[in-house]
Amino acid sequence: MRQRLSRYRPELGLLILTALLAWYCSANFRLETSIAELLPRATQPASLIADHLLDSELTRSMVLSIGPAKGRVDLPAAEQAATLSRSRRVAQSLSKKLEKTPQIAWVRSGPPANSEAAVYDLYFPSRHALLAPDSAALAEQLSPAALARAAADLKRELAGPNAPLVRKLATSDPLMAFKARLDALQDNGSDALTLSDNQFVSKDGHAILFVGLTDSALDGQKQGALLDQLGQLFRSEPEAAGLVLERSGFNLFSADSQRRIESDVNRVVACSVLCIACLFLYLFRSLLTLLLASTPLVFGLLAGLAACLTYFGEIHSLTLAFGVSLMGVCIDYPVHLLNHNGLQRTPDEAVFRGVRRGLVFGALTTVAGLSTLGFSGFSVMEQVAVFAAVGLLSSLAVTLYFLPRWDRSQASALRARLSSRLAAAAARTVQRPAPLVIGYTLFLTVGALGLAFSHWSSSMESLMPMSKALRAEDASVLSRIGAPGKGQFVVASAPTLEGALHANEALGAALELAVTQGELPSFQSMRDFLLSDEAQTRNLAALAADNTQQHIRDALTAADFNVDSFAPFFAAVSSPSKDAKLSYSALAASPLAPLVRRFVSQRENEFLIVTFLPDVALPASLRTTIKQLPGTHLVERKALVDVAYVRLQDKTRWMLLLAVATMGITVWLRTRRPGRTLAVLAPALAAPAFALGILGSSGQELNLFHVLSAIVVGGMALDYGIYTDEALASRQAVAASLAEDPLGGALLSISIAATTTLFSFGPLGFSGIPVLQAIGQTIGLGITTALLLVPVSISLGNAANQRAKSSP
Amino acid sequence: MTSGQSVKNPPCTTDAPSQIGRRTLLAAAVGGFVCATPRARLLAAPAEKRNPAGAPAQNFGSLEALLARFAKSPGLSASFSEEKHISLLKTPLTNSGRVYFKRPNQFARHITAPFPSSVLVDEKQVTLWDGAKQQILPLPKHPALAQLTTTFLFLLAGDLPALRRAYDLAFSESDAGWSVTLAPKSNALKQLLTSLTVKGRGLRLEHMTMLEASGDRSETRFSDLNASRRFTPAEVARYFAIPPP
Repeated sequence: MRQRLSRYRPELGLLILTALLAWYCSANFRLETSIAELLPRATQPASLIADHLLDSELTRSMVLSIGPAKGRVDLPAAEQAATLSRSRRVAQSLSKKLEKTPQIAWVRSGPPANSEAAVYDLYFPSRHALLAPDSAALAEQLSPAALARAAADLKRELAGPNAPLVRKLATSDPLMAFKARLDALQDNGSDALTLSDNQFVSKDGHAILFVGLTDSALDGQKQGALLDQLGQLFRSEPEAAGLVLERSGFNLFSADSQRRIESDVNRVVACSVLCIACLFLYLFRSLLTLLLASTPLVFGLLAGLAACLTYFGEIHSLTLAFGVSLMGVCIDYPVHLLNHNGLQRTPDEAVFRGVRRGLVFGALTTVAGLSTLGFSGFSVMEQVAVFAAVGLLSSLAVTLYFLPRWDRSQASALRARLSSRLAAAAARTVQRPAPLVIGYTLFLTVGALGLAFSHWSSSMESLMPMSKALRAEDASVLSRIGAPGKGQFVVASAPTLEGALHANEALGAALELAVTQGELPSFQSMRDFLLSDEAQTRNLAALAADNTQQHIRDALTAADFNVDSFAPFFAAVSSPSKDAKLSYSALAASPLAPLVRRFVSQRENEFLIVTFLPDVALPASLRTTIKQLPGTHLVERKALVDVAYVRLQDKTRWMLLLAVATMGITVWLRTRRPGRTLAVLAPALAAPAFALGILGSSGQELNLFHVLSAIVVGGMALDYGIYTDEALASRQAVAASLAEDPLGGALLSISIAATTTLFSFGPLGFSGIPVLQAIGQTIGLGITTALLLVPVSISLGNAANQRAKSSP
Repeated sequence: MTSGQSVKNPPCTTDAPSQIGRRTLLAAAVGGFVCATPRARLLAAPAEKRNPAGAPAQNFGSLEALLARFAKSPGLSASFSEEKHISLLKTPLTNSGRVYFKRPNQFARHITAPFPSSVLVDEKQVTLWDGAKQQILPLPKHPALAQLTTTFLFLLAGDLPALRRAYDLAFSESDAGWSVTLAPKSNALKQLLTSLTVKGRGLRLEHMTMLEASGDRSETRFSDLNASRRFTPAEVARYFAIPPP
């Protein structure tokens, strides 16, 4: 027993190591989806801020709308009222259920309790401290002309419908600073919603709920589960019949993307596994062989993932997608080895050494090529480099060490027959090199021309277009609540809250000017709720000044007021009370906290204050102004993501060339002969170019994943060249002693590897998702091309060998 | 001959409003009281029509009798001129405009000069418009405000018990006409209003005095009154809307 265990010690070790890796990956798995990772390191503060905000309170929320499907206007008045009542009751019942759901952080169905009292308690004592948001506005407000207008306004208000309020407060507030604050707060909110029984209601009769999310909105899996639960809760409402639930939120799109990708990948995987199993069963007469071939693949995947998680602390979704594609290279190693092992009834050590050399050299060359991505300066590309190096080399190690120990397959007559036929076909082809050269030139030319006329995508959204129905639903709800838009905002940042408020005030002044000049329709700012301590102190000091008070007296007198009636005001501004200034802590502790929460955020040691802009095109002058303000960053989410994406795509195209060049140099260093080098490189040079060129010239928009897949194609095509080269070398060395031609074995390996790859990735080409489609089509077309170009490699390699043989 | 009667009322149960609640209450108070006045004035219109000379067609003898007649009015429209004596100002402010009332519960008061503004009242809400911005105050959210505004609905309906819940009422009558004085009972209303006195002759509403808690006083005179006004749907959409016609 002990002897038996000792015999299988390496296998046990591999099993334990695989299990440990799986556990480690599972325990430390952190999938990163941020756009900042797509940009060069630490050079884009706006992207870092946007990235932070994209997973903050801003996105961790949803808006739910419950109402009649047809819209209130289409219904008779009595029915409208009844439907509105029903919508309200359903919304309130749903609100209570959602509050008990762990994935929901908060629910708001109406204004915060006691908000009116809170507004008075917070803002009446601090009315003078919040008089003006900046010194220019303060100077303007306290100018004799503005004071005369203020006195006239007071007189007018005393004659109007608000007279009782104004009259009550006028003696303490002749400048109507409190009323101005109320107006500002009212303007900051939307007038699209009204209240019905303390429930937010839209103008078309839908009850509205605002919902906070516990988990990241970008976590598609969790959000998908939450949305399912939400739908079930709504449908279980007894009065929900005839009403519709509409939703708005970032989580809708992340959940939808995840579902669509999962659905396509599951279908493709099932189809691929079935096809590959049939292929292995047919060629190797054993499903165990398939299991053996999968072992290096699984181990390589886990090792690459673990390396990324250890080194980077996370793995980006792009790296993971690329890594899975890379496994197409890994499976070629066991296929090549197993095929050669089983071909000979008495396996020849020299042939095996040749196969092993080919595998090692092929893997090292691919790793060298992909390692160039590590110098791109892009975090996600660095991950790809690490993943490729560790994953491919681990897979190779398991292939070389374990597969020969496990493989008990018998020589197969079928494979021997196929091998012989392929060798004979190769021999015939080699005799007529001219058509091959012409064909190869044609492939290269078509590829180059196609690439020259290709159109490259310029938007990240092209990778994963959002569902039109979801976009319509989202837009409908946003329009119903009068949301200003969610793609454009300005962030004022500073190490302290006071600094951020200060920067926000400067920004507010610039935006106010833009509104005055008609460059911007409106904006929503924190400055309506709170000013910096510096601004509040400045306002109080200005009002306490004797000359200011004299100007106010003069203005009131000129407007026919009895100045003595305003003694409470002059007393208050001459010696401000303790609560004359408003602090953020007081605001955050008040019932108004939910209203200000969306404006303020904290990232590491930095306070961020967000100002929301409507989704309109900003004039260049305003952009420049914002850019020049210290501590402010204009964040246009879509533009930022698209710029990042195009940069990464361009860089990756250059990296593809660099990878091929690196592979070429590696091959040259080994062969030291131009003819052999060209023979090895021939498929790797033409296959990716041809695949991209054909796809590009067919009118398809090429994207980042076409390029990444082309790199994978290059790696696999190079392996084909190397296996061919090694087979030719083996044939020269030992041909006389072998029953089978090593070249035939290599060609059969390459054919099986290519077929396996086609089965694995080809079906992705029929996916409706552009990312998967790009991977499937590029790899499918590229590998087919590489396979067709192997005879060119043989021909060139043969000629090179002949030349070497004949040279002294 | 002058006859007078004071009416004993049950204790008021209205809660004092919060400070911010006062804002809406105060704002609504303007709407409510001003709107109340045209309603009461409406009641006088039929008498005015029947007796253009202005002589009282009859003595009512009691508040109940007066309210019973008021309740029969289908609608009203009138012009008004208001003089506001405010202690903050050396000279009074004047407003003029039109008021409209449609049974059972729609009021509109539109100031046309010197600055346009409006107040609309129904059983659900008070809507204020200051010439630029509109503010809606839902009555269920503001119990004190609801009490105040519905006062006038009760007045027109002749619902004396309902009026008594909020006010101490005093009715007097002489050859010169009748007078009804409403004195608020709740602290909330007392913070706004000391008294409201409505005077008329027969069914013709002529004058209203509102004495505020601050000591300020508003005097409103009505003219061009049609107390049996019936509104077409187009007129309802036009007069009971913001912005005003």
